[in-house]
Amino acid sequence: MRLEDITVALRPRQPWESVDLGCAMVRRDFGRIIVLWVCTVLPLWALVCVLLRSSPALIPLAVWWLKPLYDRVPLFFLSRAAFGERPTFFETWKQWPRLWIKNFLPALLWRRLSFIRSFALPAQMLEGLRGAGVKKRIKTLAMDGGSSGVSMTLAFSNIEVAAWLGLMWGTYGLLPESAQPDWAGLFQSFDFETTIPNAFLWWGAACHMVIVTLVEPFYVGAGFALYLNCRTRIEGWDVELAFRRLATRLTSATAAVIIAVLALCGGQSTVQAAADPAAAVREVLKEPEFEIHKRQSPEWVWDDKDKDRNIDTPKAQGLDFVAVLIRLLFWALVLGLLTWLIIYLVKNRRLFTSRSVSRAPVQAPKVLMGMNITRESLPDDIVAAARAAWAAEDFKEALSLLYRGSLSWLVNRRRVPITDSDTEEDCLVQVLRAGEKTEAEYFRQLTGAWVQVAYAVLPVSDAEMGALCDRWPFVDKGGAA
Amino acid sequence: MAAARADTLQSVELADGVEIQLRVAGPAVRSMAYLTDLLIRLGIDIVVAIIAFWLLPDLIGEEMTRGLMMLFAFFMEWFYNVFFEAGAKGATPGQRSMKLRVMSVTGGPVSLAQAVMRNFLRVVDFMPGLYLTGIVCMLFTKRFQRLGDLVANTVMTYAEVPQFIAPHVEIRAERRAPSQVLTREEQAALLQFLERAPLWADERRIELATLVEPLTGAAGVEGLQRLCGMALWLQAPEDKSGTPPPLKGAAMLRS
Repeated sequence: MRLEDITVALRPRQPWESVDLGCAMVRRDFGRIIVLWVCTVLPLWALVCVLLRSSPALIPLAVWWLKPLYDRVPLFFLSRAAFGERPTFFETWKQWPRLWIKNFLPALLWRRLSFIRSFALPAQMLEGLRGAGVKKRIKTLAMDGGSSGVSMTLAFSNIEVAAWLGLMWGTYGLLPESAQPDWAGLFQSFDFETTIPNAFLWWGAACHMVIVTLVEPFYVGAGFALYLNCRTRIEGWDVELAFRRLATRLTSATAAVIIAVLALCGGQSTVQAAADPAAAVREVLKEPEFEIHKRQSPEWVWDDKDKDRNIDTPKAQGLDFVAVLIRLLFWALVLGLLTWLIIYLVKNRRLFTSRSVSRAPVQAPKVLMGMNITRESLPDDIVAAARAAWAAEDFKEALSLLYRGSLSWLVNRRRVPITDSDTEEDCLVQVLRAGEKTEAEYFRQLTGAWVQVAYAVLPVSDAEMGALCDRWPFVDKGGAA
Repeated sequence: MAAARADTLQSVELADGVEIQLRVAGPAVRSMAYLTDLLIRLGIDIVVAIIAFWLLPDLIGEEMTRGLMMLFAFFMEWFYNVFFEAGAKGATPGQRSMKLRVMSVTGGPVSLAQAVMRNFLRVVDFMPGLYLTGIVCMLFTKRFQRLGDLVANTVMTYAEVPQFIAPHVEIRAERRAPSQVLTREEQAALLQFLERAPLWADERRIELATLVEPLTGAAGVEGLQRLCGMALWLQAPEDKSGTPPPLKGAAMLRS
């Protein structure tokens, strides 16, 4: 490990910023990491799938549990790449068994649930310590970066779960119906065995593997970067790097001075002072880099000067008459437009008033639902005529007389906004909205009875008919109208 | 070689040839900020719903209250982020809790149009479910931008320059000018050394000071003394007050 060859920018960072650095490191080499991942992790997953083929629900759990193993190869690659010796595929491949065997039992058993897994991994894998030494080392590091390691683990598990569920959600619609669980049955009986098909579980496990492949390398990188940041802060790696560079520069500068002195002593001056500085400057300025480029582009400006001059010329005088005419025409046009606008607005002023008024028909309809409702077409005493028709057992005629009479009254006298395209229901709504309370209530009953007789052909009782006739409200009270 | 280094600072060249560096924030911290915002939004929704269903149904009826609550939830969902991000702080409460803020790629505050665009495109980032597109997009773009950010030309950045609090120690070293002309980076390294040396063990300090023997001309403790003297001289060439100058070097971190 040579610090001078480092390929990441060292600087004491905030913890979250170093997590981002890890993401940037992984992104830089994601292609190589994913190839290594496929070659090392996929065989293990295939084995897991074969072993757990009878209970696929356990596969995501097993895949999750074995995560510490997957982390090691990407970490090996990243740690080498960070110090400028990006290993080839076969170099890493050769390390694979060694990496996985080292400390795998503690990693899979009592350290599995550690919240600083990826932050502690570099200390376990890269520093070459053993036993109690590792534990002490991790404790030291965790004093400085432990809490950020925990929150980073939380953040990445959030991302992983969100991405997993998102992928399942997004691809759910593509599943055949036989593979979709019976959600209603599941929530009724909580019987997972029969309601969730195996295909669904397999598909969930596959989605999980895809997402782990995508997210886990970034988690490893983030832990490694956090570890680097920790050591940068407590050991001053960035300062060491700068000092090493400074020393290198100064030693080589000293060497250059010594060589120059030796050369001068030997009388072999290689330095050629320019004879005439001004001439040299002129020479340099002739180079194409110093050429001054100019570009001309026309620009529109107000022609004030020309206007002043034109007034003096005799040619323009004969055109005065035309100018006045055009001006007059223009103002006439403006005036005409304004007048037209005002007239138009006044004519259409109802557009600006409220809607209920605008709905009022200009003329009361004469025919509604195929019935003539003009006052002339009805007998003078509607109620008497209705009673007579009822006595003659012509029930439909009796109710139709009442209904037409009431509509005629409401349309002509009360000016209820009913148009000739309205149905019984529309009429009722309009009357309820605009009519007096007693009239509206009566009209509601009457409409009910009328619809019953006219459309449903159901009999109306004598009592009801009697009530309708007795309570007839559509008469001029006190002869006022 | 320096150009190929992985870094979290992203340079942006502005139209007038000035280069600025953005401290862009990645998916991990942004997911935490989003989660905080989600909880805050849910909390507000629930509290408002409880108060509304307690007070309003008597006044305006059950259905009207339900309609108003749906309107409220709609505006919370679509305009919560827009409102805060286009505001003076440029960050929602969740983002502020993680010390983040939204910026235009040019380093300025986001305009209302940008805030609207990046937040309305959350629908796209959400697809196919739970921000999968946004997560993948953030992981694989250089400035950790999701699609909404790419369209609106915005980035999420850290709002504060990190402050490192080092213990204040009195340095007994003779102020002296460096024996060579130092570049800006080298001066910054010297100042960093002076500021952070109290955090390190004695052996480490001496080890580091010995590295720059060509500059100090001495190794070991003597070298450390001379190095500290030069760093003090860089802080203030002349001792004016008689007391050591305050160790405020945060600005140098960005060198």
